[in-house]
Amino acid sequence: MKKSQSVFIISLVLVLIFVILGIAAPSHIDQVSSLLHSAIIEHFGWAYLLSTFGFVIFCLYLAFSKFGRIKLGKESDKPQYSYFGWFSMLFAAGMGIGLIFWGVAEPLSHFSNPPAYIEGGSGDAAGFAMVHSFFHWGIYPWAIYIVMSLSIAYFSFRRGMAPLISNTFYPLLGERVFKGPGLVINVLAVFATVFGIVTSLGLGALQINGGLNAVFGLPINNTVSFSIIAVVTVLYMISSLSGLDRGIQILSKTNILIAITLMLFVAIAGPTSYILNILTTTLGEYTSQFVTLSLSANPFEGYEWTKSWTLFYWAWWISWSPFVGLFVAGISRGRTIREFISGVLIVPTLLTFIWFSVFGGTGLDLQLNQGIDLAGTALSDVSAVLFEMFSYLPFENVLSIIAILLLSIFFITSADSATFVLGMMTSNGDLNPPVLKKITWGIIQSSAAVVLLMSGGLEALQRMAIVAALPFTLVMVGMVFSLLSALKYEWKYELRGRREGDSS
Amino acid sequence: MLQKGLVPLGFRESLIQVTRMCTFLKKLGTREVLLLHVGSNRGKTGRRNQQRMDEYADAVQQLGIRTNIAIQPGPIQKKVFSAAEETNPDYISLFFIKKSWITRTILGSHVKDIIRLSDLPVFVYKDTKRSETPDDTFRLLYATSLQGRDDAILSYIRDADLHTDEVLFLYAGHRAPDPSAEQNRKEKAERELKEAMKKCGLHEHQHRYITVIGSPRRQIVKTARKFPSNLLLLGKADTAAGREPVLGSTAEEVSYRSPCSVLIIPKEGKSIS
Repeated sequence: MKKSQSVFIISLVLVLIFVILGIAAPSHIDQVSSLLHSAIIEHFGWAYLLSTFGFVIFCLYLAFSKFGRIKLGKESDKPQYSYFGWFSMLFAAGMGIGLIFWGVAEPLSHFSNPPAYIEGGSGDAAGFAMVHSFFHWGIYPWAIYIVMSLSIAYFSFRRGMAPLISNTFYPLLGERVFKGPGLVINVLAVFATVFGIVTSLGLGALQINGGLNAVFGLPINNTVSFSIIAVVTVLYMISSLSGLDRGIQILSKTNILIAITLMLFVAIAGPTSYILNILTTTLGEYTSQFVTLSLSANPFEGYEWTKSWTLFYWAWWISWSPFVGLFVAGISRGRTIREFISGVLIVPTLLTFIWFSVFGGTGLDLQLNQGIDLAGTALSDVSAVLFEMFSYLPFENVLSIIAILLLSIFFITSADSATFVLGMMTSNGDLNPPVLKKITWGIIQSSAAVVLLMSGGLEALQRMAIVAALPFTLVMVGMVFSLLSALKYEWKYELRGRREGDSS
Repeated sequence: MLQKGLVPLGFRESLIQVTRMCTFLKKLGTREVLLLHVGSNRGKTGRRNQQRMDEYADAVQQLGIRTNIAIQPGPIQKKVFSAAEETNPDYISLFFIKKSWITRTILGSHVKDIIRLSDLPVFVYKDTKRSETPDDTFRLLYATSLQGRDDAILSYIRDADLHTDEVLFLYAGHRAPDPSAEQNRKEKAERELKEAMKKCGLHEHQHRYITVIGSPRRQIVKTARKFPSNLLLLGKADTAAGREPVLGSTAEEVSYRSPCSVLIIPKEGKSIS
């Protein structure tokens, strides 16, 4: 088997086996994945909390250290994309689709169902809900993505290696990155990416279906969901085949403009002062409680809540990191480490905070001040709560159509970038992966989503993605040491010599 | 270069062990030693200490080494360094007695402290089979950092008084970040090692080199175990960066964990070149 084909063939076969099992024996897969998932979340929660906290510290250290000056590329390289294009693509790949739904649903869910030590539906619960929404969607996911993408970008653009996750381990593993250990890492990355994107496609189709039901009264059933997947597949395949530069960039920029417009409209049409008060207060609480929140496993009271939310999110972000990391690395060539970290950590996080304050704040205002039970809807049907909230704002139908449009475009950009990343990972890091491979992965991810939606194996697959996050956490911790070792080497033996040469 | 040594003794060393150490020192070219005991020099204890030091001195003199003794009360490091200032020795020789991790953590280690603070070369004698002067070959393992300090340290290898039969040059360094840089690193290291070997003035069959990848503090000890040697020679940097303030310098760590005796040359070590 050719080296360039081994990752492709092995991961393709393994993914197909999993999908077939998901169709043939969904209950077995469900049982096994539940068992693994609950065991991991139950016993390794502390590991997720500690390692992700370590990732944040690592990002801050690199940004403020002398290494921050090192460029992700050759010294003459310039950033490929404008700041606006870069931020748009970061946001679209990182979390765009999730924010649309959870922007309202998450604060309301925490508000009505906080941990046992807080009274549900109280003022304390509202504060808790906002702070934890900031916490789950703020700095942490981006710090996780930074570890992955920074390593890939450094080793590929600066050191001239192929953009593969395995290659980031060269300082630790040496030539073994081209052999068995490297293969295992890359196959694991393909696995996590496929599992993540297939569940997102399946669940996303259900959510769009919910939206279409709310606006146009379309029935919620498999036929509509499959049609949505089919349309989205055709669109993202067109976008994917048109290349990263054109397709994703245009879609991402369009989307971010629409998202900001929608957000501004809701902020103005909704309770503006209330939203700004929430933003200011939550920002203060989040900042002052950052360390406490970061390391709160809540072993005495509220561990169940932490498991269901915080640990779930951390595992989910980690399982998404190979995909987002490779994508973000690909669009960040030519930026310095300091610029990269501050850009990725600050801008999307701030936008996320504003988004949650606007949508969550509006939802909480309706709930607390106007007596409308949105929290009940959030608990029963996450996909419907956004559309129900729009029904209390002017131009509700326009807003809903914009939201569906946003969802669809975010959906397309995610699937598009996933197709590109899968093609790249299975083509030995080729930045222009063969069309055939992109088509193969595109078809596999959509058809897997359809069949698993039919058989009911989607949630099992989502759990498997989270199970894959545990080994990936170890991979990421190794990545931190590997990158640090490489940066120290470069600084000590290459840059110092060059600086001394310059000064003499 | 190592003709005059200052040898602090704590009386935990037996007479035979001190004799073995001084036999080894003679092999390094030592002709004169000052045996120093930091302890009471008054009263009954003082008389007992004096008696014991006389016994040591007699045994060492029988080896053909000119011997002086001194007993001074006070803190160990302070007295060692003040004795060094007064008598101007070429190096300090310490008898290594292994302490448990917990003892070292709570009480500290005089060996490590003296290595850290000394501007003189420090010899750490390990009373093991490898440290006994063998009749056949005297093998020296020189761990170099290839940072332009070889000349000063090579002068110790070239010293006519040090009868070395075989020198193994060792370079331990971290792997470069990519295959091409790694290839360059290896080639550069080999080139510099060959240059250093030329400078040491030994016959070709008397020296060889080895390069290993990884943390120097771990790899030097590992190599010393893999290639048994009589003496491990290494330089000491005067910077304390990274984890050194917490874990100690490579020289301190290696001298503690090495299976054979160690000679540490400080940055401003004496040079005859």
